[in-house]
Amino acid sequence: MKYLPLIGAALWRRPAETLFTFLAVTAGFFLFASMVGLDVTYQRAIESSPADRLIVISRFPGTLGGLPIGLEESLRGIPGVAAVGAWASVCGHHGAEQKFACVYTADAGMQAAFPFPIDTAHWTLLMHTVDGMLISRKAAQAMNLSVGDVLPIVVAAGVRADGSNNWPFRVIGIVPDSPEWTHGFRVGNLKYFQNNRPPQLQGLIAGFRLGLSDSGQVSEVARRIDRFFVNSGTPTQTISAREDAANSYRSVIDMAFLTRLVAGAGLFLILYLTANVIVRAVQERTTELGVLQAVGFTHRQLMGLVCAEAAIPCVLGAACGTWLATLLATVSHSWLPSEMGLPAATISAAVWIEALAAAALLALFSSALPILMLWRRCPAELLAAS
Amino acid sequence: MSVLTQSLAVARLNVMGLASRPGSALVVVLGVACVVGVMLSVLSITAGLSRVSLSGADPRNAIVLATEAIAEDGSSLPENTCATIIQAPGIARERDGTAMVDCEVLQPLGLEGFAWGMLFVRGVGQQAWPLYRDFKMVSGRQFRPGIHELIVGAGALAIFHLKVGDLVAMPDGQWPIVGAFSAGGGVLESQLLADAATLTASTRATGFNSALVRLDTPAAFATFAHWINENPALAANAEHQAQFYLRSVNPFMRFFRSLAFFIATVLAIGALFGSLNVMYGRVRARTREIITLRMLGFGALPIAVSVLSEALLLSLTGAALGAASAWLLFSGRHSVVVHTTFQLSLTAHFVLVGFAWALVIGLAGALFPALRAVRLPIAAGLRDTATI
Repeated sequence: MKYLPLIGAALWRRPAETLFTFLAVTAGFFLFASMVGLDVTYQRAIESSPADRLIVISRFPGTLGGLPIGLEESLRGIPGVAAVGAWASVCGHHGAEQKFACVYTADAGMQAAFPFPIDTAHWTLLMHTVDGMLISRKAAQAMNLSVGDVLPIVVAAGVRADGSNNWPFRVIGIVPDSPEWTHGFRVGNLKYFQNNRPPQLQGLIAGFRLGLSDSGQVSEVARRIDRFFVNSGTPTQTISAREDAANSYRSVIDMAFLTRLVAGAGLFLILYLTANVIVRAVQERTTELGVLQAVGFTHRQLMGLVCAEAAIPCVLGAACGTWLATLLATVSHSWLPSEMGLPAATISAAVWIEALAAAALLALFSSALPILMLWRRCPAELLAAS
Repeated sequence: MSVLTQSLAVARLNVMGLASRPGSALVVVLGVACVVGVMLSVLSITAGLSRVSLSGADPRNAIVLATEAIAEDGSSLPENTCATIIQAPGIARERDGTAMVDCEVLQPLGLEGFAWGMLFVRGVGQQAWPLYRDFKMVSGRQFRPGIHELIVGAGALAIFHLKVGDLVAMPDGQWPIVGAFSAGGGVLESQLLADAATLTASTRATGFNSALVRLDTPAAFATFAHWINENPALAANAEHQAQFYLRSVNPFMRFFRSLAFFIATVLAIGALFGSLNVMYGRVRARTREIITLRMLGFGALPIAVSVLSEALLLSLTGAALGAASAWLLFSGRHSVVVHTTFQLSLTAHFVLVGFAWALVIGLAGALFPALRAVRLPIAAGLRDTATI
């Protein structure tokens, strides 16, 4: 504590310089935290996709346009399968801006087969309301929908039996979000999908989700299913929900690489800037440092002073930048394009720790050169150097 | 001496002194290099997507999809569509009178490690080749109609690690890849190609996904599109091929452009404060020199110009370094967005945008230090530079 006035005086020697350094560090860490937070969101989305649940789709979907719903019974009979839920998506555009959206229609088996954060009362309501749709909070907020509203999805010609392009869904409940669907989700009733399909496509669905009796047998059960259907008219492709999520995130550029590149650029910018400021500050204060050494300050104490001088703007800037990134993350979900699948950054405690640790390391690296300059120089040398 | 001569003399003096203070000069250079390098790297995605959309598309080509279909794989046209489309006005014809129309089918394939639907097999007819600009085989041979054979595009070759000789699992067995092709860097290079009739038989598909049409002239599109869109026998829409490709990747292009400018803005703010620090430091270090020049009769403008020119030179050097890094590290690299493979590309336009940003950072970072330099109190400055 007794050295704080010295550190304060050193920082306040050139207030504008200290302020500019602080602002540059804040900008750099704002970017760093936003990018690391985005990476955390992706990782969470992948990790929240259950590794012990399987997704079964047609290996060659063009063959019939999906899988026959009749496979459901065969899947139930495969050893290791505990629950089976069928699904199909109704995709199209909606609203004046023609934004892309899908409604994931599911049957009653999905409640046991896949852990949607939907309570039994809402599932029961959905299964009894053919044109009903449950929407998660995030999706409802983004689409400005509330209970009772209708979401008309405009689908391609030939998708509906009646020749219409309009597929309306009525909101019957708003349910909690799930980290797996970073922009929220919409779930409808599979009967509604099936009842409105053209005759030649009736009974065909997109795929199945499976719950297993033993979560340690994911790969074995997946192989068993694909082997079972390999010589059927509809060979299947079975993967874990987590693998599917990881593949999906890799399908739009390598976002992990991109976020690391940008976060690295931000840190590099700050490192060189801070190091330059500290070197110059030490060079300009050689006499002062010589006097301090002459009155009894040890090398270790002087180095501590230099380190603290670098650490204060770095750590404060890192805290401010990360706080700004947190603010941005809370408002960004409303304007990030949902068709991109890009979620808002998650500024978790781990991101804060990473940012502050990076700031401490930056301070250490920034003050390394000035510390080397001071190392093993006696007071006389320092005073003479001035 | 005129103001111009004075400015040149002081700027020259200043620039020559840069070598003696590489540390602070590098702060501006590397700061701007970071801004421009990262911005151009992200913009190279946008440029690559734009190039891939326009490269393979002929201005005389139109594509017909089912009404309201967002993408080709979500479009389903009945079998008799082709027979109806060839009656439309404005369609170009071969010498033998055959309409230049190719009805095509798409079959998504699952590949380990890639999301489902990233790779497609496109079934094309023999009339397709004149419709795809710059199509040529680069290795192996063309597939034979009626035979279970595939050829692979250059983009799919790079991204999905496929090669000539590989076997691809299809509904009725393994189909060999017998050749590789390029298509002027267009969207087609992202896919595998097979004979449409053979693929349709293998997948038991009914109908087509899309029809590709060559028109007599680009101007014939309006008549053709009106005939297709208004025809009660067709639930289909016609669109320019290039416009369709651009529409497919447009959300991604918009997103990456916004991302590039967002990142560049934040980094530029950091670089700007770094630049301000350095330039204020430079003015402080040159106080005696500046005051001496003022006493010798140099005007305020040449002094300001010297500070600004130093910052601009450093910023432009940083921009050149950033652009060179982005070009070396990213230009030409293959990447993929959903099911479109493309090469990251740096365009002259985006490089100029990068240099413009560098100029703005340089000017903004040096403006206030330049004002400080011209307002230096001569007498006080000579007494004590530390107070400035």
